[in-house]
Amino acid sequence: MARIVSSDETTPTRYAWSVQAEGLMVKAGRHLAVNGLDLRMGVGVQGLLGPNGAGKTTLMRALATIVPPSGGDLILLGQRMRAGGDARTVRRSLGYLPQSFGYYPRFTVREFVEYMAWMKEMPAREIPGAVQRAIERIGLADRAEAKLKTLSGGMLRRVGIAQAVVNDPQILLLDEPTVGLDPEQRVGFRELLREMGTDACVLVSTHLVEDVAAACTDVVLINEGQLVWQGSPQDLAGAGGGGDAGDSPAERGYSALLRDHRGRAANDPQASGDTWGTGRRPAR
Amino acid sequence: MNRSFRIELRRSNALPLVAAVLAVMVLSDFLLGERNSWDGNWMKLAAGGRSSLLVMVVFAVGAGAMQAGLDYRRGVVELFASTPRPRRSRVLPVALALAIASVLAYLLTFAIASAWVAPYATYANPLAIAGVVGVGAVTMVTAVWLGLLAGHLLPSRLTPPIASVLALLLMAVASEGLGSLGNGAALSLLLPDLSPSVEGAATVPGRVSALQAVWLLAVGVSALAAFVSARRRFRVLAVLPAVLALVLVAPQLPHGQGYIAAYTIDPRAAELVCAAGTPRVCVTRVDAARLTQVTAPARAALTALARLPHSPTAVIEQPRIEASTVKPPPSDRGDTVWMDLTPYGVDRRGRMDPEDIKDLTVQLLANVGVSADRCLRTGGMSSADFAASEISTAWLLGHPPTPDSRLPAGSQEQTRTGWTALTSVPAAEQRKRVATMRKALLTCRGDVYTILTKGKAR
Repeated sequence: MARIVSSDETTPTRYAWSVQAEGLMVKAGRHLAVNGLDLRMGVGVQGLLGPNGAGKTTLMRALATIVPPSGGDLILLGQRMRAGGDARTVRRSLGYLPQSFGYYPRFTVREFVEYMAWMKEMPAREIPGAVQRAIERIGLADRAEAKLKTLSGGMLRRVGIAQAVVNDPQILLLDEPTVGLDPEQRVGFRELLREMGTDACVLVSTHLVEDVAAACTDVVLINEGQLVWQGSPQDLAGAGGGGDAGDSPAERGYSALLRDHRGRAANDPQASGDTWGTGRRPAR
Repeated sequence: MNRSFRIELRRSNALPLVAAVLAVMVLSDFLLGERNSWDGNWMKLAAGGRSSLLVMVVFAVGAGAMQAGLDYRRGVVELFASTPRPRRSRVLPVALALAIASVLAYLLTFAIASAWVAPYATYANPLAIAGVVGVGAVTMVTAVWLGLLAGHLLPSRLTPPIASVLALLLMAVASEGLGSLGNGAALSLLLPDLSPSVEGAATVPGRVSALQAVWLLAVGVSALAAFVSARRRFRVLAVLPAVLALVLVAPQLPHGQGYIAAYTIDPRAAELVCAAGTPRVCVTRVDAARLTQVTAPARAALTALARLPHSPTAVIEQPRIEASTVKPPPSDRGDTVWMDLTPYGVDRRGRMDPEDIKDLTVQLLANVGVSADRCLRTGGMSSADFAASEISTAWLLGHPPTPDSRLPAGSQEQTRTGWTALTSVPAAEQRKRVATMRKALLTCRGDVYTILTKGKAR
């Protein structure tokens, strides 16, 4: 019997990058938290690193179409994001785990993920299967009928991940996903990331440099709303020397790149961002 | 849609709203305090429901505001903002669930309360009653949707209590205030408040209820549209239904004193039902359950009055909307004693209080059987007028006046001295003086106290 093929399946991809930002500016309140960011990301798992206040969460919110850009260009899945524009198509292909993840305490795990699948406008007949898959993927199948208020912090974080991946998103944004996970769960989570990264653009914002080194194919380092560096975890590890702060090569590399950028920005305020562009070369 | 509606229903506080309204109404004044003022009269019950909206609206507004603030309190606004589903398809089911719940709460309260009315109600005008109840139900929907809008525009923990208090103030104060505005009498009918303290045959015409329903529903639709729309531009446009309804409905509402303007006399309810035999004793159809109970005391009053020349021959309940609003019919030449049953409630079996039945004879003999409204003196009776009424009643009943603590202090003293003055003259003169007093009251001329004590009008 013939199968109805949706237009999504037959339309060829018409964009080179899942996420493309040029001179992107995003406000957090009145403050310009992302200030002239250039970034290109494709399929794979990218770790978003940066000190507190670097603009990581604001960038995530812009990519999640919650705040529109106040300047520059942001193109998601080939569609330009504008204030007042319609982001509905892009949102269907988005998965997002906010830093502070709210939920309805009286919902069961299954109900909540199901509700989010409905919110993401998945076809009704696909929802039950997709919900079950998502719950299995994060290892909560035995707690599927438990009320959310009975779950521990780590389990809730996993429910948050399940709702983010339930629609097999093309862009998956995870803000601090490993908070509250024990070491064993973190290992499982990295596997899930690698799996998702095979056909989606996954961006993981984190403080834990080790998570990035272990699970990411790419590292994005930002500071003060601008791109500092983009490259592979191996290059990150290679960027640091014995004198840099940190307990591992990746951490030392992180410290070195940040210190170098701060020194450069202090000497020449004009040199910020654009020089480093989107090239995949290390800063030195 | 069905499945999502079910989930949204669980997300909503629709069921707690129904439970809260029912619990409060059952425990509150409405069922425990007011149930004896319905008098087996469907219209009074329906109007009682409208006046208790004062309490129910507080819950409806609060529930709406809490519901709208729920997403903020749960911290899911951020998460939901990243999803494609339009706001309307997410919040409409909730708004609908709350509307159904609020209507259900209102109708259930009415249904429970009707157990006190149904067993001995003698008259019903289904259309008028449906109209009065319907406006109440529409008000609940509008209140819930206004609450949703308030909670959405001001997402704070303080919004539900503040919105509830504002609703209470609006209902309690504004209905009075609007009514007292110069030509604004009609404006008080823009609020749903109605009082059940009207006489039995009063009714709210279907047209008035329809106008009120259209206006209140339009306000609700405006609130809902503003709540549902995601864009500010549409939110501003949303006031259109309410403004349009105000312009079209307000001029058509009846003018008068506050909510009383809503009432007219229902001619079928006012039809007289009379006791068998003579003298004639009649009550209106709505109060027919009380006829057998009032017949004996009414006839006792006529017997007492028969000591006078040209004494009245019938006791008839006069259909009025409210005491002091209507004069007795111009055709009245003093052959009828007009009876007011409003102060006498009945219990759920339709029985009057035995004390009230005893008191009825005395009440009918007040002012020698002439209605105080005849010369519109209700508010203007002096202490001497009260004393004269006491003395003449005592004389008709053939025993000295009993001290009545409800009378002003001056009246009691005047009653005592007046009684001595009247009974010190021969019996024929006494009879003449009381008859003259009655004549003076019927013609609205003369000082009745002077007539009783000195034998002539000044």
